[in-house]
Amino acid sequence: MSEWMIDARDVAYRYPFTEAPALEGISFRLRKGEALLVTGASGCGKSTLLRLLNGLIPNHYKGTLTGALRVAGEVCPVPMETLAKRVGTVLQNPDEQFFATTVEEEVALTLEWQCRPRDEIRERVDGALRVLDLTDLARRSVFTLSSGEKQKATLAAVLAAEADLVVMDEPTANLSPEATDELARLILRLKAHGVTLVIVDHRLYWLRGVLDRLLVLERGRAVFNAEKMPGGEDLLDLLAAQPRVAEWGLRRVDVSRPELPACDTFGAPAVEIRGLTFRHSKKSRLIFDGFSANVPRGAVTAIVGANGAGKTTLARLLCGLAKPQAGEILHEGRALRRRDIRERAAFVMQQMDIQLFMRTVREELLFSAPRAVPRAVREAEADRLLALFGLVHLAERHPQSLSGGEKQRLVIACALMKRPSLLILDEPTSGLDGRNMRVIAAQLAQFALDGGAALLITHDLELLELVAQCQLRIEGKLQSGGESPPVAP
Amino acid sequence: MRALSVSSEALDIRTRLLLSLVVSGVSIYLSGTGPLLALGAATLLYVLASGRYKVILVAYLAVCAMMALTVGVILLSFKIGEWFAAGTSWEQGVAMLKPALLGNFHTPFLRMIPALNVLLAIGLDFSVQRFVGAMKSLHLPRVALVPLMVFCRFVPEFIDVIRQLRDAVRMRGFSMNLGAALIHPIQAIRLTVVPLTVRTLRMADHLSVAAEMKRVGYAKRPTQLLALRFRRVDFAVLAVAACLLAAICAWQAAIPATPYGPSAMKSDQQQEAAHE
Amino acid sequence: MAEVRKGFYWDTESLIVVGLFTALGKAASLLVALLGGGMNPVTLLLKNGIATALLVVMVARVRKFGALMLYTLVAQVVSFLMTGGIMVGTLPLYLLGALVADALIALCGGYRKLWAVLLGVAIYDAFGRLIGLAMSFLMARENIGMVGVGAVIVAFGYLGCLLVGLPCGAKFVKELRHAGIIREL
Repeated sequence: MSEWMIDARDVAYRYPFTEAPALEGISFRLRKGEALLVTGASGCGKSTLLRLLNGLIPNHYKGTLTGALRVAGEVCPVPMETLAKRVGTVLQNPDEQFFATTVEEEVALTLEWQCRPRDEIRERVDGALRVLDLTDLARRSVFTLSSGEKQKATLAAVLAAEADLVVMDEPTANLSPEATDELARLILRLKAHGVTLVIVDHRLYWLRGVLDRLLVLERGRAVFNAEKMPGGEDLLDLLAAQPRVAEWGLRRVDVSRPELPACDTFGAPAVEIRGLTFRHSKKSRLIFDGFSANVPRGAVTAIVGANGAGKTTLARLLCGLAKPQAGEILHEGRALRRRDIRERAAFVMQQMDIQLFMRTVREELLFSAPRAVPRAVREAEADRLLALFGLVHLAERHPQSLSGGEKQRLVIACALMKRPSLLILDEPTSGLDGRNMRVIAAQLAQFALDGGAALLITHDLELLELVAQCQLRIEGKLQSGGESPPVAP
Repeated sequence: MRALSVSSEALDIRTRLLLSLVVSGVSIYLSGTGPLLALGAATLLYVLASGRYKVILVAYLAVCAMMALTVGVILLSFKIGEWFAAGTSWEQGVAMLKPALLGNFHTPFLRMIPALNVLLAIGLDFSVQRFVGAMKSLHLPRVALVPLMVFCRFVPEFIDVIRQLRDAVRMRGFSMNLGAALIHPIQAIRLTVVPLTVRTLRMADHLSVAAEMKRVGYAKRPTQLLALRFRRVDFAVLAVAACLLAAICAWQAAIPATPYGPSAMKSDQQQEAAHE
Repeated sequence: MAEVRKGFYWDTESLIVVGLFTALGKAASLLVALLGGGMNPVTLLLKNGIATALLVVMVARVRKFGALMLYTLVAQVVSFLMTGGIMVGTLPLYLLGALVADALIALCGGYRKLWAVLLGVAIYDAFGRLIGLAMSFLMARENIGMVGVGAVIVAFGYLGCLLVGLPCGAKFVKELRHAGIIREL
């Protein structure tokens, strides 16, 4: 048997009804127990490569494959049922991958549908849970897990199904920095167990010291393809030294947690929070108990706190979407009705699909403006924002047909159509490449420069480094006990 | 009291479902006041064992309110009919039908009680885990099993999505309430249905990719790692229920059959008139 | 060894779509009930309208003979598992109604023709309501007035299906096809 877990020679692939190939001239080899990172700007072909490796192409997505590709000793194309026994996949959002309602059942699922005997399933499930330190969470409902725990449960399911090649699609997009560090440690452990890993991700910094091979794609072609030499330089440093790296739309290879001053002393307050007390219902725990803070005008403030501390709840309270049981929130020094607050504030939520309602991008923008604004003014403002966010050529497209980065830019543009004095963004750059992330960071900085108060809830350290000027810290208890240190941006 | 309850952990969900099925079937068959009262009392004891008196009381009050509303609507419609039909032959028709239509209210009401009790017994005990347990223990084929797995997994998810959608709509200056639906019905539907269907269809795409990789749905009947098992208490409860139901049915069979509907009411009236 | 088979008539994707739409339907009806109670005319119209619109989108997405039957099977088993009751005894009747509607769609040119889907859903909805009405007759047979009130509510719900659900469903299917979220051919 070949020593190579993946052996790709001049692989090219084209989707049906398209002229340009999604991948072209891809060649690389990966040994058992090695880790490969595939990165590149949105639309570069990295998801296509991932689909080729896990068999979704050509079993689920059709098209034309040329060149020679061997995965786990099998010459592709291979029937899915053959490949599924060797290759496990971890998708970006575990929520869209879970079928069962408890950790144990989810881990057992593939084996159950392979009709393995009950005793064998039990043994494998227990083993996988042990390897990933999930034994205590076996009976926990998946609805109560943190993002990091969900990611681990997905990995456990893959390991229980005996996969020796694991492909991961944007595994850190929804993880806190602590959970991301833990994932890096876990990958090292899996490598030591002989598991081969292919990671497709925009975020790079967390993979320092983990990678054996790095592949950067641009328009379907490999523009950087390097293997780690024993005792040689880290692949991320090699990448950073490339002369054309800035053109590839990547994120930075070195990111650190910024030290931010407290927001209370940063400048004149746009929003004052006084003695805020809130719980979701009479029976639920108290989230805020006499909490006070100031949100400064003309600055980007990061909301910092542990998972479950109430960052999104605070955002809902500040926008007038929830009502505190006690205390007050003053906007520009005045206590406003919640309806009036909603007119002045804009809130960009994490889930984009549910924030788009109309038939075209332009209509979506026009719909977002207050109805009191005259039509002509609205039209002019929509044109300005279309240009600012690089959406002019998409103005007549259906908003739901846009790519992730385009949609994210659109929902932020829609929020700005209101000309808000307070703008809150919840994870605006998760899953975005460096280019899209920098567009959003620039607009956010401009909003603050124009005198607006911007609040940012994000796990994206690079975005924080780029735009956050101060922080609003919420002290709260961990809700689901998974992710280690309690403070996370 | 909860510690003593039969409800919480003691009974298999299949026992509850079987009881519910049989009791509602029997309640449709019954028409005598005595047997219906007996069945109502027996099932009330069964649901009271859950110890959730407050919820049970609220459910009963809701059923009473619904009945009162129904009576109110019927009375009102006759009143309106009388106003319109005053002095015409229509009035005579109304007068003839009125006692029949306003007649026997208690039998349907009594028939609803056992059905309500068994429904409450399941509802009060409901959890996603129990639902999944029931589903797995029924050993369904894949055509039913896969959609039901997806159902259990995604109802809570959708409730959350709907909450977020409500926030998104409110941030655009619209409300999701009765007034808004009245003023802009088409817009109300667009603001709810479009994002929800798009979200659902996207979830379907992602899930079917995940299913293909995990091989979910690619065997006729999967192994069930955690399947429920019947216990003694289930057999005991079922045996007691069978005896009780047989006795109640026998009681009903012993009561002479009576026709129902307007003709029955008419004959009742004739009998009353004859007595007078 | 694994009993893996290819070529099931009901591919896993269709089963997932049906499961998701059943879940969405339940969650949406809960939402409407919370917003305005279940018994006023506006909520009744809206609730039925939304349910029908979702059903139209689902059938247009699944595009297979038997889509309505599969949905019926799942929805009925769900309500049985959630609340128990005798309604599961009427499953064969509901399935028959769905079969008629499915057959009608197939006869009228298939699931790619939007108007055929609309017609099928309208017939399916009517069947379902008639069966529900028959059950309420069995429950309240001693008092025709009560059945009459039920009939009025059912008729109003069906109006929601015809006047709100079908037009909105048709509109959204066209839009989703335009956006590439539902396949056109």
